[in-house]
Amino acid sequence: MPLLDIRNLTIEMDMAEGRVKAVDRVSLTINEGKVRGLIGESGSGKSLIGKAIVGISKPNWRITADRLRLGDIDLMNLSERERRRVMREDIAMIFQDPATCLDPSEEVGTQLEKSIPTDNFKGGFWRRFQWRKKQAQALLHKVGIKDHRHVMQSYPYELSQGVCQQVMIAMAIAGKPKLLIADEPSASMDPNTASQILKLLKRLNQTNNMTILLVSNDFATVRELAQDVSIIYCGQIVEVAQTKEIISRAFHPYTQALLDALPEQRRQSAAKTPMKNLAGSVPLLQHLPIGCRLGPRCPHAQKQCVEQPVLQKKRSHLFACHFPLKQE
Amino acid sequence: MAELLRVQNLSHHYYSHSGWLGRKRVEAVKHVSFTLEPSETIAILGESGSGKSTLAKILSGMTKPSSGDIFVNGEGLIFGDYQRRCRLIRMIFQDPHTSLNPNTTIGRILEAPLLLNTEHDNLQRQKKIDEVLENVGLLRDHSEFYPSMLSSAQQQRLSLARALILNPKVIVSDGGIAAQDISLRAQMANIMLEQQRRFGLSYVIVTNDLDLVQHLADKVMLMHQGEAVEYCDNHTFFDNPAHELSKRLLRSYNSRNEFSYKSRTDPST
Amino acid sequence: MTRYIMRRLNLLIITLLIIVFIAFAFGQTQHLNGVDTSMNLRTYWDFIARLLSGDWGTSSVSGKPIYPEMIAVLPATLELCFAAFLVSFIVGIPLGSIAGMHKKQWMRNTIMSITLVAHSIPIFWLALVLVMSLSLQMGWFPVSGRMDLLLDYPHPTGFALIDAWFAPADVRDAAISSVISHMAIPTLVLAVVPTTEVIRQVTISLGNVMQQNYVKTALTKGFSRWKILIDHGLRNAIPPILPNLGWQFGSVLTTTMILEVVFDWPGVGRWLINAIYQQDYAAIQGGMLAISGIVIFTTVATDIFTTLIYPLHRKEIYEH
Ligand SMILES: Nc1ncnc2c1ncn2[C@@H]1O[C@H](COP(=O)(O)OP(=O)(O)OP(=O)(O)O)[C@@H](O)[C@H]1O
Ligand SMILES: Nc1ncnc2c1ncn2[C@@H]1O[C@H](COP(=O)(O)OP(=O)(O)OP(=O)(O)O)[C@@H](O)[C@H]1O
Ligand code: SF4
Ligand SMILES: [Mg+2]
Ligand SMILES: [Mg+2]
Repeated sequence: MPLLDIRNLTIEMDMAEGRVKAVDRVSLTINEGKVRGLIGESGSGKSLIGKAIVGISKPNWRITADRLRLGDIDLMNLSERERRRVMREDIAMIFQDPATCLDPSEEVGTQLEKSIPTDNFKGGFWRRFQWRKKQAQALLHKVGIKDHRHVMQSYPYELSQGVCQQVMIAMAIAGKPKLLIADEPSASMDPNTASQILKLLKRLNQTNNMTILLVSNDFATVRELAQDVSIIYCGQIVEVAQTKEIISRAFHPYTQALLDALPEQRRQSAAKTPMKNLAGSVPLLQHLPIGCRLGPRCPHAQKQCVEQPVLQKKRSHLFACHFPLKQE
Repeated sequence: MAELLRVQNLSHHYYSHSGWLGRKRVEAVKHVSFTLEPSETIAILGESGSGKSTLAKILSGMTKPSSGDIFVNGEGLIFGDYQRRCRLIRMIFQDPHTSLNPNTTIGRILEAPLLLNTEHDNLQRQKKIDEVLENVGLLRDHSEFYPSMLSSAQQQRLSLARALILNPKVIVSDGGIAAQDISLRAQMANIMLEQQRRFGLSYVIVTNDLDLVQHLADKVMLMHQGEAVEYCDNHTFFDNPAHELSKRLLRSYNSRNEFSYKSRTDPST
Repeated sequence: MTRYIMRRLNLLIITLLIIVFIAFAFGQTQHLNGVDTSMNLRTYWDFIARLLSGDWGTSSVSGKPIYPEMIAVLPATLELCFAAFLVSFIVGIPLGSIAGMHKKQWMRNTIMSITLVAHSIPIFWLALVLVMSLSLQMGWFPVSGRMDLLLDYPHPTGFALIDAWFAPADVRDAAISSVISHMAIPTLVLAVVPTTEVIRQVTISLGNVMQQNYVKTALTKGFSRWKILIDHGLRNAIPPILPNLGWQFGSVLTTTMILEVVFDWPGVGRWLINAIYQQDYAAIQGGMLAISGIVIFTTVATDIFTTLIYPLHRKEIYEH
């Protein structure tokens, strides 16, 4: 049974230009103990999906879904109190913009300690205080911070961006959630730290059976961790498959473009020559093209593409394209 | 070739708090020196907290260095002399959403530095704006738009356009391109390369994306706890690095690539 | 640290010097400061030296020195001011918090409209209406004065509430209740304007804070909105507005002085008005100096206080 089960999640926003659909009928399931990658370009709505799961919204957003469940809990209809319990115990999210997610006027150590649950700890006040401190240090070591004393005593503005991000990760895993939503957890970290973070996530997944939704904008991080991936473009899921399969044979032109951007593909072009990429950029939500949203940028587009393609199944692959790539 | 930018013995320390009113010195950048020639690109790498952003902020004039000098074309740059500095060195900010004022049209955004720093009349300014928009792959009509009407790729281009408009010699980018997704990154890289070819621009890019470094950079500087522990040209860095940290970095970078290579050629799939 | 304190003190001293200069110039034109009416550095310096030694001139009406007279009336005014500010915080912060928490839109609108109404009421009129209804008609509160003069106990500080608190046991309860009942209406009337200001500022500031990412992050950790308000909301919303509220002190002090006439409150305001009627220029000069000095001092003090309690401002201290 899937731990996270999303069916037809739609997020609309009221803007000056009218109502736009930022996320359009997205379905996503993750089985317990698995890792799913969610890959898409900037602005494709990845973070919005994460926010919808953890229940963050703004007054001008309208979030609807046929199903949004965590195990047997319906996340769409929760009382305030129930939601708080679920958030505290079952779900955690690593946000994308780490520096603004920390309270600027409180020391980082205190903030980290507050996010460590003590419900299961028996002992007096002092023992619990000491224990929390120890836990906080251990968490910082896990995410690759060596100088825990300095970091815990600092205010966020005194830390570099990368360290803030590491602290955020530590806070997210502190509560040992069942589901972890990691929104680009290793962005702009150096390769060593990044691989340490990915190893940590992998270990949490394997030993604690933590289910992870790994959001990223390229394959490079996702492929090391995720068994399955969903590719999202402009708020729509365009391809879903196992990671191994999708890397060896993609059906959707957009997936292929993402794969072409992988380092080993780029390597082949000489330094300082133009890089290969899809022409154009993600369309604005206010001016979406008719039919297939990749249309204007797609090298394989044909007349029929003005009709919106629906997700179809081919072996264990799901993809939304009228002219799937022929395999060699 | 004549050197364009010379950074000599640059150091910076912050005071961070310790206890309630006490303070503690944090050496963020220690005695960093490098030189850059026209049309050259230097990439600055390093783990988090190694002082990359601090160095970038000093170069762009946002932070006053504790000690050390910056020379452009042999002349020293003084902190606070924005008039001169912004014609020589400009910064691309990390997040275009927050650094672009949402209530001003793109034309105005680009006009502001011209008004402040040049004697151009209306017509000249308009011409310059059109030219720079075209250079970064935007349209002349875009100058009537508001930033929120652009896609993130176009906003990226706009922030490059803003950096380019005063014809600087050096552009400093901290996370500007590297934080983007692949297709944006490729587009930005292509535009930057094109600008470099045409105008002899130099770049200082702060990034940890080694692919990008390999593709764009001529020189590489690796920072560790504020010090430049490795400073060499691109090939040396990737083929024969001297410092232990560089070797470790390259090892994790290469293992990642091998991983994917294996899975792509895995016969079982 | 020292650099920061020095900078702030510099500001304080320079502004004080300017104020003193204005008083000095006024005094010279009115022949208050002795026979030498020339305006130069030496006479200015003499003037400052006299002020510092406690010689603030002599009243032309009573012939007594100004300084002790002023010290006798100042506490009454300050006490009213402080009480009004205290009330405005006690009432304003919770109401502002409720309005700033956003969730209940009607709640916010209600609070904001009441605030607007309160803000636009003429204070003078409100004072008269309250005195007429609550004091004269209902007889719940005394009509005027500061305390029951029949109770006999020492007044070492001049602050009625403090003196009553330390009064001998036999009169203590009666003294305290008399002081409070005398203070009630003036304090309430005076608190109206600063309360609306506190509500407005807290609402805006908290509204901004509650939209920050760190608040959203805390929400996803399952904390309740009220815990977040205490934990992150007020911690980030209150300190930045303290300097603004410190600015309010000056206008509240002025209002107090005007209202003292209505309540027949023995404070600086009434004293000054008497001085004006009697053309007692030395008293006018002294009063103006004291009031401006107090206002400048509170402004700088709130600034320093904010810096001490608010990390984002405390940065400034470490950097120098
Ligand atoms: N608060 C908001 N108000 C208006 N539009 C928004 C808001 N947040 C997101 N959007 C829009 O919704 C779309 C999807 O945003 P989202 O943040 O989910 O993108 P993303 O896939 O996470 O991209 P990135 O890789 O840059 O993080 C974007 O076009 C963005 O402009
Ligand atoms: N305002 C500040 N006050 C005190 N210390 C600071 C301040 N800003 C940065 N530091 C410290 O200076 C050092 C260098 O920070 P910097 O932001 O330059 O690192 P970075 O190399 O850019 O790291 P990242 O890759 O994480 O962005 C860090 O140890 C950081 O804690
Ligand atoms: S449906 Fe047409 S336009 Fe869309 S991805 Fe397929 S080929 Fe390209
Ligand atoms: Mg995102
Ligand atoms: Mg940085």
